[in-house]
Amino acid sequence: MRRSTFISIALHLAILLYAVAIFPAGRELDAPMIKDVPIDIITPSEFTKIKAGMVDAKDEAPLAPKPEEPKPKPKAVREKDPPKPAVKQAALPPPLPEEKAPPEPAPKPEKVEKPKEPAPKKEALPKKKPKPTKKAESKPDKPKPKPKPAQKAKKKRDFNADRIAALLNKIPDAANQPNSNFAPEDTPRKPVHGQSSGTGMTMSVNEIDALRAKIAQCWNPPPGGLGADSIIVKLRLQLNQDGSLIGYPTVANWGGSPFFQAAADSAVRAVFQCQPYDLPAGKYAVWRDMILTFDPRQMYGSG
Amino acid sequence: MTDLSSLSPKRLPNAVRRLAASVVLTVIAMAAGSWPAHAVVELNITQGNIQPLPIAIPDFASDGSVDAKAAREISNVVSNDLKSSGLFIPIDQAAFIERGLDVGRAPRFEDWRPINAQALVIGKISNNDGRLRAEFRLWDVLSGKQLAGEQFFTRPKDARRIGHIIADVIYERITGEKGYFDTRVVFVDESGPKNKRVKRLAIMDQDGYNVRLLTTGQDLVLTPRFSPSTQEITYMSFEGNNPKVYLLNIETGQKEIVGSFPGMTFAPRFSPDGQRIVMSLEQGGNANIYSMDLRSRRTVQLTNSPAIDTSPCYSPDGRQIVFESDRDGSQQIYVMNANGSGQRRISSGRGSYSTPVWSPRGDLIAFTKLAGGEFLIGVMRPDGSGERILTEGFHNEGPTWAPNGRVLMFFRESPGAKGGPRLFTIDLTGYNERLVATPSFGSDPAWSPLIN
Repeated sequence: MRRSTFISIALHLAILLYAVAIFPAGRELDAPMIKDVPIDIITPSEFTKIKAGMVDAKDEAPLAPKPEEPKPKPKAVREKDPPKPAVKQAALPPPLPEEKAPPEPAPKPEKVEKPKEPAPKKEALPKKKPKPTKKAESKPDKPKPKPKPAQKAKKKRDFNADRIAALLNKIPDAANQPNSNFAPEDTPRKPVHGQSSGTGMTMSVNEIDALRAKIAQCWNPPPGGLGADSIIVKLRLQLNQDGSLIGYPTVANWGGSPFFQAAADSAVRAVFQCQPYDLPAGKYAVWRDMILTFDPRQMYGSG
Repeated sequence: MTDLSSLSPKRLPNAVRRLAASVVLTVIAMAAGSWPAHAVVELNITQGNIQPLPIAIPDFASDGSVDAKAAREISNVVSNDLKSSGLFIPIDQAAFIERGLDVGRAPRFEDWRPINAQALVIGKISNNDGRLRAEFRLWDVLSGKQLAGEQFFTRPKDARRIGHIIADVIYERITGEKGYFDTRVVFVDESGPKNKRVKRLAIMDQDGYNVRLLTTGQDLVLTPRFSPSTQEITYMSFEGNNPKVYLLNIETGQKEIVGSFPGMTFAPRFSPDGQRIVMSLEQGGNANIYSMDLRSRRTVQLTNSPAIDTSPCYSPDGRQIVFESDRDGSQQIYVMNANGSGQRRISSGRGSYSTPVWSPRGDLIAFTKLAGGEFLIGVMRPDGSGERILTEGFHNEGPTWAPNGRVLMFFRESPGAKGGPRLFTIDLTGYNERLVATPSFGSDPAWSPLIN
């Protein structure tokens, strides 16, 4: 028993020593980690900034695809399957509307929609964007790396059994570091930080009411029919800073019936008709994404 | 722990770190992905601004194989149909900015937004080896999206029908409801002075065009009704001074008496499946309701009261029948099961009720109501609740439903020596009432089902 426990202890000690001995190397390796750290520094304010960057990207993207598919005039209809082919063909040909007089039929919306759907994914991938932000904010970046190494170095020197914990904490550390860095970062950026921080970033009741009233004024729902007067449509849309729509709103819920389609179209028309939206510029981060639920039940008394 | 450290040789750790970093990133990314859900403004829009949809319908183009006038007539049909529904407002063509539209090319939407067009119809008519070809596209002006694009072929003489079909496509795409423009109406065409009226069975397009007379006018005819197949109608004729229910094939002109009953039969109507006719049989001053299977000719007596039970009409599922009866003193509306069981009165307001008709949607029953010296047209739910009067006047009668259950046609008698019945439509809102122009007076309209 004792033997085995001694062996065990000895091995553990050996491992610990080994780990300690290797730590210097660990430092060097840590340096690259620091580069990644900024990625972790995703606070709401930064996130919204990142999103803004993405917005631009989206805009560019749609433009690019459009030129690629510039069919001038779709020869509309094939003989026997007239309707469906016609629709499809129409969809294919559309180039950019503004640039060229030729049509941008259904295709536009489709293309636009595709970018939008990916958009959420892009949002999920802040990796690429954080880097640009760093570059843009070259000054803050420099401060960040310096403090971090210092901290790590201290920890290592202090080394104890805590080390193990430190190792275990690698990931958490990374997360913490960003936070600790965050504060210094913020200080230089104060104005931005102030805008994006916490409670100030909500729309006031008045602003919400005005927006709701405006959209209600633009919304011309299809006449209620049997079962059609209780169809609810959820639209997701994104706005530019000037209050205009980005691309085409996405219908966030689903219904296959002609009634749903008509209801969804009416909601989309309302959103288009109402733009641009006059919203407080300082709160762009809040209203750039909106989800609108069009619910006619109250109107038709079928709720 | 130990593994990590033991693996710490220079390159591997990097890989591991990258891995770890990417894990961290994905976790953060996922968290970030969920951010918008919190950062998003969410609004419920519960009020709208219900108005007719402004729609631009430029004259359809023709390619030289077709007279420009003929092409324009088709777009006019589309425009008039949509306008008559009360759900669309065609925009005055004088306001149009973009000209020379081509059905194969998208319009310049920025030219249509300033004139408040929300929908735009571009069409073209051509002649393909004697067949008329019509293409059209429906555009959502605000979003720039194509909502519909179809083409049709037909005989040149059916040009108007193409217009109705296109109007139906547009109507359904925008409202979600089936259109009703490509339908017909049978009615009683009335001509001659009031004291010597000639009444002939006639059929026309829903908009009053293409009137065709089906009987010669020798005998009084009443209450024509379409079969679900639209090829046959049933009606009552006083032929030989012996009022009987007849069946007439519109295409062949073939005519036959329905059943062989001792007394007078009247107020016939088809069942929704077209297999049966339900009608009234009068014997000794007392009328009861019977149904007859058109194949087996078997008849079933459904009511047995000492009163006058008449105007039977099936519910769209064929399970119930609504009818009028004066068994409680005045004419009222009753509902029973299709086998005659469970008879119950549903009308409860002041006045008397007659000519109940079940909506094709099943949600309402239309009726004629006599109250305060006026004849009114109204609707109520099948349980008698929610009574609503849509139109009133000196004499309104005989409502019939458009196949989508949104519009009613009825006739209105005008007083005076030169007065006579005219056909009108009114929608369920009660605000959109329109005269259906017919060559002469008309009464007893019956709307066809959708034509296939």
